[in-house]
Amino acid sequence: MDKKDIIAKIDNLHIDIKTQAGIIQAVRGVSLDFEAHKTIGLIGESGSGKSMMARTLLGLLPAGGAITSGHIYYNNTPIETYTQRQWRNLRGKEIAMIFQDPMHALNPLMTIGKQLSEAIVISQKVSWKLAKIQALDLLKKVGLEATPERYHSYPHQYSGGMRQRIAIAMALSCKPKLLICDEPTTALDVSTQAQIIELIIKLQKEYGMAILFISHDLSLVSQMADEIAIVYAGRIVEHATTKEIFLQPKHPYTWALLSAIVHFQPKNEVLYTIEGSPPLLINPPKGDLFSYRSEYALDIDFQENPPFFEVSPTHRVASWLQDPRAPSVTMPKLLQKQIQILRSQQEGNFHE
Amino acid sequence: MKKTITILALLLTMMVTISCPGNNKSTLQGKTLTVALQNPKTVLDMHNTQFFIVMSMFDHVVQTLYEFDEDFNVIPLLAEDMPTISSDGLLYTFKLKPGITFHDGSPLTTEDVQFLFERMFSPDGIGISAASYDMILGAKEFTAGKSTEITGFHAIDDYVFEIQLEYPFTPFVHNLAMSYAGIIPKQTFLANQKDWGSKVLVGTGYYKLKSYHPTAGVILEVDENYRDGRAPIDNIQFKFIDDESTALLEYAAGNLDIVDLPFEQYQDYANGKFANDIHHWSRLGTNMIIANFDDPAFSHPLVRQAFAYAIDRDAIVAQVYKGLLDRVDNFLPAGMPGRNPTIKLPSYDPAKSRELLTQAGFPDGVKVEAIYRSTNHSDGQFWTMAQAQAKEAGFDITVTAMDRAMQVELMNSGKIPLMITGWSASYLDPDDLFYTFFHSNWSHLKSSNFRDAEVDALLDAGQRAPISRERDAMYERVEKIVVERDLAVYPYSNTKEFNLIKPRVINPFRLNGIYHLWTTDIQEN
Amino acid sequence: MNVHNIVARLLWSLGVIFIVVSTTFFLLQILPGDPVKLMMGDRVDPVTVEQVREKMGLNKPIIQQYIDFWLKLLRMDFGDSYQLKLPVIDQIQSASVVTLRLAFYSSLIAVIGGLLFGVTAAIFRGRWIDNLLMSIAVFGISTPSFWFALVLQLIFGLWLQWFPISGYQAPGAFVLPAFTLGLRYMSSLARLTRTSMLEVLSSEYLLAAKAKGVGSFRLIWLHAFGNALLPIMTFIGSSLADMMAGAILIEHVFSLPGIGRLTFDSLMSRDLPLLQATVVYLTVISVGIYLIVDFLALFIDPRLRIGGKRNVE
Repeated sequence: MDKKDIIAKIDNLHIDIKTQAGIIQAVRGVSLDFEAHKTIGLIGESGSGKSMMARTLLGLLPAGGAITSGHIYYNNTPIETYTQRQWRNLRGKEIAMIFQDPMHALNPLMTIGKQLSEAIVISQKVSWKLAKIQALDLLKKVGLEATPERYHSYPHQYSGGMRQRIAIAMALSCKPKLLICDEPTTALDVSTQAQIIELIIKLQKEYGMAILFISHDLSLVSQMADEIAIVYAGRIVEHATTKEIFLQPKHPYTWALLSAIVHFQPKNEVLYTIEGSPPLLINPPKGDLFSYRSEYALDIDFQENPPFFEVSPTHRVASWLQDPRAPSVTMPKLLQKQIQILRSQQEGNFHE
Repeated sequence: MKKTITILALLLTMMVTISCPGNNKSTLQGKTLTVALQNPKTVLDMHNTQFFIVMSMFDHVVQTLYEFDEDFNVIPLLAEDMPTISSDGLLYTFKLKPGITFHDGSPLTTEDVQFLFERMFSPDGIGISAASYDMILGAKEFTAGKSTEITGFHAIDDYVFEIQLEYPFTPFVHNLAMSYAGIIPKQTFLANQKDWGSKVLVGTGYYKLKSYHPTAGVILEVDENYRDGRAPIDNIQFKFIDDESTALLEYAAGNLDIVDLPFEQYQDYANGKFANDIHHWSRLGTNMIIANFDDPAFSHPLVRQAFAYAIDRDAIVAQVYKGLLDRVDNFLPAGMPGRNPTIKLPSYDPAKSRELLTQAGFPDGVKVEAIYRSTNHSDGQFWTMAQAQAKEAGFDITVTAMDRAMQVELMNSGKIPLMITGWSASYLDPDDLFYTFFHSNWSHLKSSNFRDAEVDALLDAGQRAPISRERDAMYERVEKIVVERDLAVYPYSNTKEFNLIKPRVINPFRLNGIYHLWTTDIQEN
Repeated sequence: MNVHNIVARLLWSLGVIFIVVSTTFFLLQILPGDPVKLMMGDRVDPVTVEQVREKMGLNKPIIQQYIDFWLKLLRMDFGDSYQLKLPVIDQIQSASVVTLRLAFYSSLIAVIGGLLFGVTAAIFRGRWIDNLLMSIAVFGISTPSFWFALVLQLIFGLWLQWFPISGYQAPGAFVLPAFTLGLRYMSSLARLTRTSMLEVLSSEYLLAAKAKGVGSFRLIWLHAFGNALLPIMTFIGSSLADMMAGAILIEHVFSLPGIGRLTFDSLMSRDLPLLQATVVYLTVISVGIYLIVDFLALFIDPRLRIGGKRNVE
């Protein structure tokens, strides 16, 4: 087997955030490996901790946030205890990030060319003049016109999709090894979404970076992720290849997410929703927190958090249902049917 | 980045240009006395002002034919002697002291005295105090442009001249001792008209004008060649400081030698470390209440009598004026000829007041409005106390504060129903005081509107009568009428001023509110 | 930047000046109090008063006086002061220099102090320094200026003798007045800056810039502060306009012969030419400052310019 080219690693990471209401346990033991050329999709609802995982990879936890245990490795070096100065050597140089809201992710008072050049000057320590030339190249690369007018134009003159392209250009100016995309398409319309995803895929092919793609949209992520990790209440509950997630999901939460995909659902029927809401992670009770919303919950779910069970070398599930002692359960009928259809329709069409 | 640099550069240049300090005041050589004055906001020219603050500076530079000694006797200054007066009191003959020169070397002659009057009655701009001198024959015609010279002024030679009056006017020589009659050099004035009183002021006084700044102050320097020997102090600096507390702070810091002590602060300083620096000065004045005769209620004699019982003047002088002023019932200040020693007003008796009001036909009491100048805090305090006292006595007084301009307007048109005023005489002659307040031609100016034919006749006669026991008797009669009989005014105290003066200042002198510092010295240790 | 924009604003400003000055002219005519009587004293007879009024042109019909006023104004002739009989323009000039210096130093204190306090408080939000700086700001806003002036005079003028207690000519004369006047504006500015900065500090583009690896200094002062600048600048402009109108209380206490005192004195003595000239002066200055602020805003924020809409596809 090829030695995997692991760029970065999160190892059993715990993150707490101190707030006035109490200490939120945002991330409660997450481990992930980031490989070059590979995209991991991170799926979860709001408050699941996925944003924190993204930000911690750049040392950008909000005020009050801190890593309480676990490690982050970049190129085999632990970086979780890095000072701000040390982080600055990574940010925009080795690790880059694209943000969710393109309308607000660019400084409205600076020309886009200037912002782009700024990123280049910081990461490559070249002169502004040289940076300008590179900036124009980058604009071309992300599909924008590389003209002086464009260089001296302002963010508010662009649509959301184009701003996102500019953001991507900024992020990639340093040829990062790890790219974090924090819901970059959530605020865009469907056709623009597709364009952006296409662009990212293309650039990954060219630059070979590892990508962490965060979203709450399972079907979107399926278009570009090699692996998908499902996050609930600060923990990963299922982690597998995209194909496995869609065709052989094992965790009831994953079932719920899949069932909620709109185009999986028959017309003229009430939309499926997951009952309840994600828990507040201040002094969380022990056990598997999804059990409070799951009809498949076992007694032990309320006592002890399930460990990971390996379904396949690439597929792990944190669910007591995988324990040999557990009663066997089947996924909802509707979902079974949908998966059948999927299997037949799109065999081999998953991102491999 | 470029933006920041340009902004910083602009800021820097602005800072440099603007922070150039104003003229660094050169330290004055020799003994310097520093006096704090409020800014009179006018140039040093008595033609246009009656402000005694201006006189405090003016009198050091410009002199008059006569002056007052510390007992207010009129003595010659630029004139050689008291004038000869004809027996009908209409013709005055004066002689100037020969050989006196102005600061610029020009000689003092009759021409300059004539010029004083020509300027005062000038048809282009009459002097503000001209009314005190327009009994000179031909003055009014001169002002009206009907003649090119004042017929009443006859120049005999360079030092002798005669003045003819339209009617006998006993205080005439007193008026010649007022600063309004200051003699200035005619030619120098005409050559420097625009700058007169600011950049240029020439006279015969002990001091020369060194500099005048409209907001900072005035500096006077001694005339070394003064004919009778120079004054002791080399420089007198008058600093304009409008805020009383600031002036006191400057005094405490040692930056001032003389400062006004407002009597509200008297107690604090009397008990503090500057207690020995306090000086009292009396002014020839009286504080009094005036009630308008045109007011429907106060035209009744009984109501006026009632009011005399309605205010506890003893208590007010003790409380509001902290007992620092003397309680008086006379209109004329102490020392004034014609002051009637028998005058007495009743004491506070609210029951008696109400009784009199009922008799007068006001069983439910009288409503009246009192108006005072908002900047005058002690007036406000006076009315607060008086209001409470008067209420007991059946008078419902509403008190209104007004700004100076409006109050003056109202007062001059004779419309203020009730007010207090402090008025001081300029010298020891009762004519001016009585005339201003009680002559029917002028009593509206103080919102008194008192009119009495007998008083008018007495005042007119008194003006013309020679100084004598008979004249004094006339004025005593007038005072009896206006204060005791008709209650045209309700006097309650005399007037005083207080200063803080540094111990190193020897023999400071203030005559009726005006600083006269040419006999003052500084003890340098 | 658009010529149309600029011209429109200039015309508008002229209009404002015209309206304010005219309104003041008519209001002053209604004001009770006869300037001639105030000048001439009590004993002057009515005939003389009439003569003087006639000479001063006070008996002409109002409309005539109004037209004369504007004709003279356009020739830059503001007339002579009733009180001093000297050209009004000289008085305004010397007063305005004093006020300008006071306003300048006060603005310096207000701007530097306010920005530093505000930015620092925003960065260290919630910590002790934030509380300390904001407490100082509250103190500065609520303190009556005359009390503060007195305290400064007492401590630094009398006890320590570091600065002059009053007057405007000695070196350092503007220090105490500038601190007194600057304190209030500094405090308001500090609070405003803090709020504005906090808003920007929590913005997405700031996080994105940080993620790009931008250093703290550039992050705070270029990215964050630049975006917080707009409301701050407007406030600084209006504070400056305020200060230029003269701070009468401070000028009185410190014996600074500035525009505030001049305006007040001319009002009290009904010196109409002087009063009107100060109104013209103040209006022009205020309008001018706001114009500059507007133009600066255009300069800083591209979104405000004509064509500031999405136009790239």
